[in-house]
Amino acid sequence: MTNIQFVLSDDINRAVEASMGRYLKDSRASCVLLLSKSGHLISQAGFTSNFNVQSIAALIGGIFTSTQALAKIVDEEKFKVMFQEGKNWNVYFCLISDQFILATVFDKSTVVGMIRHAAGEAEREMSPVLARAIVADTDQAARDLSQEMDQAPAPAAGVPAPQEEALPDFNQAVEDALSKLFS
Amino acid sequence: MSLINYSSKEITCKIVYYGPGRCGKTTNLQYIYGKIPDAKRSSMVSLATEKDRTLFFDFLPLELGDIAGYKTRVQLYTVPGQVFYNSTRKLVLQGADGIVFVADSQVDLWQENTESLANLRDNLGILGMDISKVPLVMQYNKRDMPNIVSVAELDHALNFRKVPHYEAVATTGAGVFDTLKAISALVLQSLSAKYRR
Ligand SMILES: Nc1nc2c(ncn2[C@@H]2O[C@H](COP(=O)(O)OP(=O)(O)O)[C@@H](O)[C@H]2O)c(=O)[nH]1
Ligand SMILES: [Mg+2]
Repeated sequence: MTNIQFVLSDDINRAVEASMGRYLKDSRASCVLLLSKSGHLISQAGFTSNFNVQSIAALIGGIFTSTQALAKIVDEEKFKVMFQEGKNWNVYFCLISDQFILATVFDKSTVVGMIRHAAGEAEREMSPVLARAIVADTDQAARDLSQEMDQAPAPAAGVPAPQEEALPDFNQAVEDALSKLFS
Repeated sequence: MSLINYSSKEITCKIVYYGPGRCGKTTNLQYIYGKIPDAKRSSMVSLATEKDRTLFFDFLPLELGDIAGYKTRVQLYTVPGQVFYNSTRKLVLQGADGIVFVADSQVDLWQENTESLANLRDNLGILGMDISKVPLVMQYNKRDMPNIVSVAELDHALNFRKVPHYEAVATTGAGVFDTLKAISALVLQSLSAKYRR
């Protein structure tokens, strides 16, 4: 299964946070969110405490991916940038490395040209760093890992992967976590 | 598509409730949302039409807290079930770490269930994912309705992988948490198998 996953190590995290901080300052935006196209929040900078950032990230992921579907229909490869203008607040979105979305919330204290310029810089900085966070074809990685560990043969196509029954240890942990959350 | 942050010790994973229109996917999330104590409640996002039908998706983030040393966050999504929303379904399905297939147990909905499962297989294929490998559980919902198919028959027709299945009445919450627990555990297990550290 080729399903992209993101793994953030210490150094990737530090580099992304540094770039986000610089971008926030250079653009003079109020807050900046970096997320994956599937709606996972990766990093945030600036004034975000009043917002429910997880939900914002999920919605932005939805907006952006539907915009890309629209691009395909009108025969554009992709829309790289999107801009939403409100009375007090504006949001500027741009795609980074095809997998990430940089969403910038700003008010009258800056202008979209400045955001656009600073976002270009931020993209140049972050693209190579973020590329290292992408782990594609995880099944291959998992097979390599299991072969290293116990020389187990790779499961034949169509046969359920052994992990589904083999490791029951998370059941109790999830059970405990859920009963804690819901009490 | 999970997000694993080794430095802040956080894991975020995405679980998608899939199934035909009106089978009870949104009701599952609403029931779960309703059971979160006020103090811990954030928000559930529902993009619906005026007729209460899911237009784009429902979204419910759950903070499970510490599991195996990681701050674990599970994000629940539902897809719109109606046939004509297929492009939206693909968007929501993108990056799913686990899937709950919700079937409507009513006799009249037999065909909708099998079509939706075939559609899931197709959409996963387009996204480069394999329905025979993705963490999956089945939920046979609306067990309270009068004219329903037996669990054995549903299982025979839909559960080709013999994954865990649960009977449910989403409106009263029966089976809802068992389903959630099972898929969460499967997803975390498969992630840990992939990223042992
Ligand atoms: N009797 C009964 N009704 C249900 C059950 N689950 C959902 N419903 C109802 O079925 C309708 C569609 O449910 P909804 O969650 O919106 O379906 P979705 O399209 O899959 O999101 C709603 O009126 C629900 O109240 C159930 O287990 N039993
Ligand atoms: Mg719905």
